[in-house]
This record gives sequence, C-alpha cells and structure tokens, in this order.
Amino acid sequence: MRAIVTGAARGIGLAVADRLAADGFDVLRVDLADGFVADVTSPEDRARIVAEAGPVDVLVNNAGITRDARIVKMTEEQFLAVIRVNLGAAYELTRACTFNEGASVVSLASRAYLGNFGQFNYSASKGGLVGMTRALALELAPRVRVNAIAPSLTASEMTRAMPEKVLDKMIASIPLGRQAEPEEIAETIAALASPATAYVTGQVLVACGGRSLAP
Amino acid sequence: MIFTAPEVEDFAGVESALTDAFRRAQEAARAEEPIVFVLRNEHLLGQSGVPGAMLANALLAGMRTLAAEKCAANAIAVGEDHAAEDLQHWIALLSEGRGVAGELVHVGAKHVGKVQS
Repeated sequence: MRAIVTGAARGIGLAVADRLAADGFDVLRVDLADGFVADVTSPEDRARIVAEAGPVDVLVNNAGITRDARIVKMTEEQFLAVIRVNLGAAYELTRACTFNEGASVVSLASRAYLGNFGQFNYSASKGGLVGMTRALALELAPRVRVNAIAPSLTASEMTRAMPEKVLDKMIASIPLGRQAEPEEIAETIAALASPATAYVTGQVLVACGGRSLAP
Repeated sequence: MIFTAPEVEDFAGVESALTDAFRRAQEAARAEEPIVFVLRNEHLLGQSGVPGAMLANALLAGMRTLAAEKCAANAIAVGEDHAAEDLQHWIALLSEGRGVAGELVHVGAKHVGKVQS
C-alpha cells in the first residue's frame, strides 16, 4: 500500500507519516527540508512526486503555511503565498495523482475555515480545501473517498514559541482544556484513510477539542 | 461592496477571482463599507465542479474572517430556483450593514437536506 504525505518533516505531517507507516503503508514523505525534497507549488516537483509514488492508496494534503495579518494590513504577497501553498498545490497534486481502487484522500483544513481573526488568507485557503473535498468526493466516487479534517490548536514549534500567557488564553477557550497532540490528529487522519470509515466521503471532521462550540 | 463569484474553470481562475475579491474586500474594509459576497449554492455544496467549489467555499470562509475583524460582511447563496428580485432584496438588506455579520443567506431551498456550510 502506497501513501503520500506532504509537509511530512514535522508536526502533524510527521505524525501522520509515522502512523501510516506503522499501519504498513510505504509512505513517500514529501517536504521542503527533509525526506523526498520537493516544493509542492512547483509543477515540476509535483510531477516528480507522482512519478516516484506511482498509484497511491492514501494521499494526505498537509503542507501549509500562515502569513497572518488583519485584512486592512495584509499584503497581496501574503494573501497569494498562502492561497498557492495551502490550496493550489493541494488541488494540483491531487489532480496529478493516480489512485488505486478504494483509495482515500485526506486534506488538512482548519477550524479557521469557520472564520478566524487575522487570517483572511488562511481561512480562505482552508475553506477552498473544504470546497475541493466536497466536489472531488462527488467526482471521484465510488473509486476514491475524499475527506478533510479541521484541527484547531495543535502542539507545534509555533505554539511552543508562544508567550505562555497567550497560549494559556487560547487553551482556556478549548472545552477539552488542552491543545491537541500531533499524534491525536494523525490518529483521526488514519481513521479517515482506513476501511473503518469506508462509507464516509465528502465530509469535514472538525477536531478542535470543542473550540468551535465554545463562547 | 458586492462581489459576485465568477464562473471559474481551473486554479488560475480561482486564484484570479480570489485576488480580485481580496483587493475589493480590503478596500471596503478600509472604508468601513458593508461587504456582500454572492455565491451559488451548488458550488458551496460541491455539485458543479472543483474550481467553483473551491472559490465559493474560500469566499465564504474569508467572509466569516472579515466578520471576525468587525467588518459588516455577509454572503448570499443563490439556488437555481431563485428569483432575481429576491436576490436583489437580500443584497439591498445586507448592503445596509445593520447589525448582521458573518451570515450566509440562502435564496431558494435546494440546500435543504444537504451539508450546511
């Protein structure tokens, strides 16, 4: 069984690549810095990824960036960089892949697709991934399932670098009382990719510890 | 500011439309003007191709972030069964920007029983 994970060098990408490998997948770990080194925004690099992977059983579109600013301050460069990496690259790579019968695509959306201060570019990119998930689920059925996961605050180098008070305030808004560990999100992605969810397609699983419900 | 999502056929079209929406929304936000995105319901549901679905859902998510940033931003989703005068009615109402933000108004009923955005 063959899998591709983009943005696989750290965080959720690393955790899901390890989780799929533990499940017996031969994982192509794509990243700018480590593993199969490739830039998912480059058409040439996407062609290399697809050629290296061959037909796949699981594709995890995880590579993403942030360039936060309020709309009134955001530059067009900040806007486009996020749209191209988070949405355009995921769409073009998914289109380029060849899928085996029963394959599964899981894209990393974010709770920010429901709206998030200072992230017009990021929330639009993740909303776009939700749209891609719904349309591709209809287009690729019944051969391939397509779903998305929308995490919220997840432990990472970025959250470790946050001032403690800021992080504590964010955690206080999460009913489960803590941020997610990458391995927990990876577990959910693996479930969406597995036969355990064989009748689920076109859906967005919001894995946010209840934050999307809290005041 | 009223932005009607154009029909798009590929990611270049999506990027171009999103960039146009970004520029116009930014200008409206700086001027503190109400913002209305007009979308097609079948695009929100993913029923009419991937590029259109990406654009519609990106605009919806962006609109909600604009609302989180205190802009009077809302969206309207029209179904194939909508009447033009009904759309104009809702555009006029939401363009007044009175106390409503981050809302998606469906004109028509084809969204009922489907995944809600």
